[in-house]
Amino acid sequence: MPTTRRLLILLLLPVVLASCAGDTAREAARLHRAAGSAPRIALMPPDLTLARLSAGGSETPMAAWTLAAERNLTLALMAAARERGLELTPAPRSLRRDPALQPVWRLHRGLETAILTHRFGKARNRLPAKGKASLGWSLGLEAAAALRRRVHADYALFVSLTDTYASPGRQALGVATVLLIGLPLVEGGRQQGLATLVDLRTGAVVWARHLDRSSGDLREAEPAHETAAALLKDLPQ
Amino acid sequence: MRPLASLIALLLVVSGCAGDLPPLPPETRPEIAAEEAGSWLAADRLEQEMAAAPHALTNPALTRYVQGVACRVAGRYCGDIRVHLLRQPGFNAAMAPNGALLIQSGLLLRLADEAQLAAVIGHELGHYVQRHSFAQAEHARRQGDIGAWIGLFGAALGAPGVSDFLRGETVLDTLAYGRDQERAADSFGLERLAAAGYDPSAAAEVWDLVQAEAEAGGKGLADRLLATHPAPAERRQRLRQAAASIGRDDTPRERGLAAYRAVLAPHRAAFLTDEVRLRQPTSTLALFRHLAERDGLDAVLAFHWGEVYRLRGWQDDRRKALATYAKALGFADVPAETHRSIGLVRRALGQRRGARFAFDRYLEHAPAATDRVVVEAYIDGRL
Amino acid sequence: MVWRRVSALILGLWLAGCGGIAAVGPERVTVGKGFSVAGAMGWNRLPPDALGADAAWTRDGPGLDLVLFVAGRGEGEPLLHHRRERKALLLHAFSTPTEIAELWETELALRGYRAVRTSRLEPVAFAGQPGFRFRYSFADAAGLVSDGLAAGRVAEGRVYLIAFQGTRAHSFGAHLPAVRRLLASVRLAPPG
Repeated sequence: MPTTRRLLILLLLPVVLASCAGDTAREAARLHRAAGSAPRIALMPPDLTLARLSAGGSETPMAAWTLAAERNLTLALMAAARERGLELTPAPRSLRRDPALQPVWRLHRGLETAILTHRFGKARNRLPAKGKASLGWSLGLEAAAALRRRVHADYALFVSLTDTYASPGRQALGVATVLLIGLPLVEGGRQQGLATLVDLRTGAVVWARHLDRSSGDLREAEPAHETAAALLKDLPQ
Repeated sequence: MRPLASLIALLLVVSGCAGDLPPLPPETRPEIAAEEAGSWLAADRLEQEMAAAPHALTNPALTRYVQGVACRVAGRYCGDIRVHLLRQPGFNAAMAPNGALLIQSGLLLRLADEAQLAAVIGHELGHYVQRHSFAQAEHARRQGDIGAWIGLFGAALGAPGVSDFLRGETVLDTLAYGRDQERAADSFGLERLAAAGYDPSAAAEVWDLVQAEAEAGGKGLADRLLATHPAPAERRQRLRQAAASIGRDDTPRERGLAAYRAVLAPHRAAFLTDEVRLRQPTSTLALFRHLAERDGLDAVLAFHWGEVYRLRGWQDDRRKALATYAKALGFADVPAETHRSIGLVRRALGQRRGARFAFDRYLEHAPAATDRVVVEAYIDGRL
Repeated sequence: MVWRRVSALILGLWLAGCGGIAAVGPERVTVGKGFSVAGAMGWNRLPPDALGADAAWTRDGPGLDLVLFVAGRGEGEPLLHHRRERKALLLHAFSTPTEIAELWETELALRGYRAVRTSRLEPVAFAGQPGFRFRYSFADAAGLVSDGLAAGRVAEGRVYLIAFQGTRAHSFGAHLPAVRRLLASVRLAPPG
């Protein structure tokens, strides 16, 4: 193989392989609660897309995987929360279609984009006036009240996640690449997600966790526990 | 290079043997485990967004009318098609894989009558029944996969440019695939149009409109359209011939002109305003000229026509704007904003007295004007 | 050839990193020639020429809230810079507030916003001289609705404008008091 080609691949390799697996930001170490009970957290219907990644890099969304993942992840998150002494209750899926809550979902998605860009994104996109430690994003009082009326909890947990899984063809391509070129250049599949915890008294986002890694499988119940643990790392208690 | 060339040829031939998908039966959703279910899931989410979108056009009378036309054209597929109107300028409609039919207000503005609307819906229904978006996604995926394998072998054999070369080929191939689908949708749509009792020549007319708009808007737009659709002249000819051979003399050939105009009338001013706001004067002027020829000039169209000149503001545009507003003034139902626009143009021309006069007339005709205080400031010379 | 490509890539990345985001301080800040405001704690200044304005500030991210400053655009110039000039967006020497609001609508539509509306155009003092103010609203591509307030004046044939927009559900109401303080502090020195 020509020298320049080898050097080029070596230069690009850190870009291809490097991925910070998970990153957390939080404003409070402790959750508030009603006297004598555990903090009540309502799990919003997770926004998930599971897709098959083909050899050529195209993603085909898989309905069966996605629906299974919603079930598996919900149960796994509930178990993980219980282990931390927290009460996590899934909100009904019909909440997503509630007309009164549409502005709340849209605002939350806007918050997710801002948090991904300005807190978990490239260093040059940080917002210095926010201060290094804090998050400083909020749904606002009205949106929080609208949610609290529906779910009767102290906090709302949102999870958005996309997960791709290499097709057999892509896996074969990966193996062939290692054999022919000598380097694992074909990415297997990627799990990217953002979890946020919102204080329903104020609307403030008190905790956010970003995942971007090449492991995790939500298609089956058992492996989903690992993703749930990775998502809830450093969750305040 | 020879082993590589034969490999490429072999893989392309294999991929080409994909074949068409069987048509979707009425009242059928793919099973959860099916390949296609994923694109339906994505389409379901998109539809939910569109239904609640801030620019969704939710006027009940208009939605009911368009949904009614869709139901008539769709026949047994009536329950599978859900119409979503969007307040957006531009000539476009799209069918999502799950039966959601998105129609832009700009399309409703441009069509002449119900038969043309039925033609568009019939064509889009063809894409739905024949599962074109899924087929196209699958085709693109297979082409991409081939590209990845050939790229790998090319790199291993030391032929760096191979993957790029192939990418060019596959792009053209995908477009050609799209053209076949368009032809199939045309045939299907024409059948449905005639079966529903509409004048089948409406289908070719819609493409006449598209072609005219593409030609007027400048080279760039025409190229984009032509890239994904069979050459409009050929297409129009084919549709005209097919329409002529459909049915006997006693076949009903409804146009639905009166019903269409009546339902659209309350919205026309708003849709015309949207086109003006795009600030694409060349294509908008061509459109307005066409509408005037086809439907006749009226106060609302004349006012908006003048607005295009006023907002473009070239050398001669101010004079043209005033001349066009003058035509609007000749009608009894001239919009009050016409006077305000005359005031703005006269002011730009340095005709202070004429401007004040026009602004006065605006306030006379629009006593509840929300910008009254500003216009009074123009009259008094405070702004 | 390969080395040239690689170094171009590295240089490109570095240049993009140049001109990052800085916190705006509490003291008086110049946002354009002769155009300044004060009392700006909590705002972040985006890289120069972001969104084609003379200055652009945000608290939580431009998708949630944004203040744009237009400082002295004149005859034949657009309100905001674009990569390709569009004749349809140019100001004229005696553009009225009505026409400026119309241009602003188009600028919003070009940014990909939907359901763009302007309203409540009224004369109001700006930096102590006769000016104007209007409200606007729009939805972004994801359907998130925002409200906006723009204020400015035309001085010696040049347009000065400050436009604040924020999400209807939270940011607009939450930051409006701070924006009002900003507008009250505007100083516009006459040119020359």
